[in-house]
Amino acid sequence: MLTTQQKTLRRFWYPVMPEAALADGPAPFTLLGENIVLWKNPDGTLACIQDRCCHKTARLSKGWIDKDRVVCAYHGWEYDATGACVRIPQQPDPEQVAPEIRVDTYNAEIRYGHVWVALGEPLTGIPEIPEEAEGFRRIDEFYEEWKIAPLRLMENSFDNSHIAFTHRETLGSLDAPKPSKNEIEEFDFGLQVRTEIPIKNRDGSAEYFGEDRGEEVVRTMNSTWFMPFVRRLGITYPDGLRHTVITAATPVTDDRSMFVQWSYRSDTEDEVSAESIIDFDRRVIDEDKIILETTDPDVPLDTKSPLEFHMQSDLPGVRMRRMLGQLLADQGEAEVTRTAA
Amino acid sequence: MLVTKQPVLRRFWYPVLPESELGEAPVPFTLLGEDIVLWRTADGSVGCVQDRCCHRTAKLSVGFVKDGNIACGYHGWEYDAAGDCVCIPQQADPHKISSGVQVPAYRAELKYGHVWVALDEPLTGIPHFPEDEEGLRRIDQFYEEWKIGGLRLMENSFDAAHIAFVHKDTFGDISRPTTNRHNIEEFDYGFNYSSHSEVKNRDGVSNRYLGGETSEDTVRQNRSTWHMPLVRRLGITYPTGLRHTIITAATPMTDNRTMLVQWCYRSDTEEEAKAEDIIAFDRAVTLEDKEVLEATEFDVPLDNRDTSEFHMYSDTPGLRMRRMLSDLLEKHGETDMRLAS
Repeated sequence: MLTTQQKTLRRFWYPVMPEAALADGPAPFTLLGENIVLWKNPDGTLACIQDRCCHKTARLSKGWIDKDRVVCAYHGWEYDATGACVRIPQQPDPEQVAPEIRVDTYNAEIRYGHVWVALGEPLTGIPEIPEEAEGFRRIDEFYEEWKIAPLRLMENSFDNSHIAFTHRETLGSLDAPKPSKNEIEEFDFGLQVRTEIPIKNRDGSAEYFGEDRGEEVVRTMNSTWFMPFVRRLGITYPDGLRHTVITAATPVTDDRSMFVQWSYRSDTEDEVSAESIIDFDRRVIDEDKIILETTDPDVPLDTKSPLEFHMQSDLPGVRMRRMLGQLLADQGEAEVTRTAA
Repeated sequence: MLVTKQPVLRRFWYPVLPESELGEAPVPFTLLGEDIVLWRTADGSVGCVQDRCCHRTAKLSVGFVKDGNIACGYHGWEYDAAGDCVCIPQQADPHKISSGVQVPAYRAELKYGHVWVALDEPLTGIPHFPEDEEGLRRIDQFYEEWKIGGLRLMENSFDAAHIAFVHKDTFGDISRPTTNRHNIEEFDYGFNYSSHSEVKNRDGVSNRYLGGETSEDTVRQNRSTWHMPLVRRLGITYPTGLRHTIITAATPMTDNRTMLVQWCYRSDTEEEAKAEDIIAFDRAVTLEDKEVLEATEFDVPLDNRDTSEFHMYSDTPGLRMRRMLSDLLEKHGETDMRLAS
């Protein structure tokens, strides 16, 4: 599947940047191949329009914000949050602008300390994260581009077999290659996945796992896949400590994803510092990154495709492929692959 | 010619890396657009398979070698040198694997201190270098990527006219732009070339390169071989009887990327001329070539009536290569694939 070629994917919400990124003027992003620019108006509302001046195509994100408008740095044309060009300074009457002089606009909202964008009419809401309502502390972890297709990261999240190999120096152990079983339940736009995973508690990672300082700790997992590219990894440790990791693989282009991750912890900063949590998660995701960046970005949704073999523990990923295939079919779309494109 | 679009080129041997680069870890290479991985098997020979696990497409080269097999770093699936998956550690019986679970395997041989690979059934053997049998000392010189079409380097090797200009600061003489007659004798997959050229022996490293020879002018007797498609043997004899033979392969990675693989043979001893000085002189010479060749178009037309390039007498070895390659393609039912087509 080539994400930029599937129109249905434009009808979901994606976190595109931490809210703090809006502090320094207009912020650019590329979502599903579409260049967009975001800024915050003086009244706190959010604007999100096409990042392309309709005069000479310059990126509006190279310009600056003047009150509730973005000003193009090339000739100073000004646009408001509705995408309308509201000022052309070269005209005798700069404010007299024909209504067709405008650019496209998109849905944007701030939630969980991040800016979320939906390019088309959303099919479902921004994912509900219960830990936010419960008032757990939120730790913003990572915001960086990975050279992967987003679906690979989603599948990886629920693939219990990769832990022994990919994470052999952190969570896993080559001696224990047999994966834990998943219990999978479907809902309208996602999956609920439950499992229990024994992981290694090596030197330097002990406090991360709470009070239990045994050599091995069992994670009780109650996680969620939010179609198409957000996962909620809900971990409970034996002493009751809860650690929930939210990871989005926001689709930039067909083979580039923005890795956006924050977590929620039921403990306090005094008990375990955010810094140490980020350090440990950094090591874990770097192990994933080195492997995932070598995978083919064109993931076949057809689970009978001879391009890849499957095993039992691939079932969550196989279910994702089927559900996405069904979603496209329901919306009257065919899967676009590199060979078909 | 776009090398990745001509299947017949897969039927030749190419040196892909010096044997010394093959340590404990698997090594990736891209040959004719094909990602391959090489490793040392249990019996000391070289394994070579496609660099793509057939499970989730991860590159096997980011995995590890286990008991002479290559193990994927993602889920630990193991492959032998025949490309068969021989272990799926997550299965109840990890070694019970259906026969279709495999990746393509390629021929790999060790010769002349280098690993040679042929992707498909070879039309001819690994080139024969008489100097190796004669027991001349071998000096490994260069292993580096150049942004060129490989054929440009082959043509350059037999082009006497470029010496006066490209190598004006090393052994060329810009006041002597004319070239001598040459003789070409074709054989099945290549040709022998003979000629001579008057060259400069400038102070410093050049003197040491020539075993202490100090006369300002010298003559190279040139008895060389082109081994189709992208290996050349440059056999030089100096008036003192000193023999210096340079083997250079332009191993095709992609249409515009080539691995320069070069070693040489010397009839003198380390006491007479240090390997370090020989490498230093040839380094200066190859960098002069690189600067010019990287400025040429990589898509070389095989049709000698093509009007996009003009020719002169000293180009005849290169034109012969183009014609012989063109005949080879025709014989195997292929046409010259160009950028425009």
